[in-house]
Amino acid sequence: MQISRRTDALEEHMIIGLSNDIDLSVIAVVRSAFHEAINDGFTSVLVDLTNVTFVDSAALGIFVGLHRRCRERNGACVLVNPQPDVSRIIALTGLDVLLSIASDIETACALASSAAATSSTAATEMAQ
Amino acid sequence: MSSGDEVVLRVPAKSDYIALVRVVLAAAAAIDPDSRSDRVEDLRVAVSEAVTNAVESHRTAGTDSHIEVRCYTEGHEVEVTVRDHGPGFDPDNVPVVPDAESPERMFFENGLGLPLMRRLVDKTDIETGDDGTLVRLVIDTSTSPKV
Repeated sequence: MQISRRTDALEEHMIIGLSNDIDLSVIAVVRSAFHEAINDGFTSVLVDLTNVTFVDSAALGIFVGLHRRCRERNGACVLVNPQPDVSRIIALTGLDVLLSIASDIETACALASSAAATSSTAATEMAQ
Repeated sequence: MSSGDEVVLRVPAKSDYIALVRVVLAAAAAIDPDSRSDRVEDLRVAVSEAVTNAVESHRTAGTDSHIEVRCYTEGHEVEVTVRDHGPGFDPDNVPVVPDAESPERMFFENGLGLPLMRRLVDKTDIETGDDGTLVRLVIDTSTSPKV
């Protein structure tokens, strides 16, 4: 498995690209990449699944963890372009309801910005 | 015993070998010319979950013994058993993961493996005790997915 890291054009979101099979054997490495993005100050992380051929429940677990960390920082986690077999597993576990999913990076950036703005507004209203 | 085919794997309880089991089991299930690729994929995921649990169970127990995976095919039916030598668990007393709509859902990163297995294959049996766990998965690969 290879992990790529880049930001969007506005440098607002971290885009982490994964590849091949995401199972227990690579979970620690992927989780570390997610933590690094958050520790670098990114509140929204896009996970590009275009080249991912397999996910198991351990992989879905770290997506949930990333989602939570982004939400806690008024940001968003968006899964990008999961292939049909991967989409099916996400749907079978019901996580297509919890997690944001986009078909491409551009849509994912818009989704993350929108979700972050909504969270930020809600947090401000709660504080008042 | 009938005239099916059997494949037996004995793999180290290390996560690096989970992919190997997936490849071999999927290839064995796909030998049946009437097998559906989506059902073979379902089996691939379910077996991976069972082997992952076995690897983690051995890690918990601190044992370096091997995990045994047996695949028996007859007609369109595939039966896979995964045997570990970990400490066992109570399958009726695993934490229940909240619904995806629940605000609490994002606090649960684990607990999806067993429900996923049960959704993907036609039959799941679990025998577990102090000397380990045997997971048995049965699927008819010629039929439409359950879900």
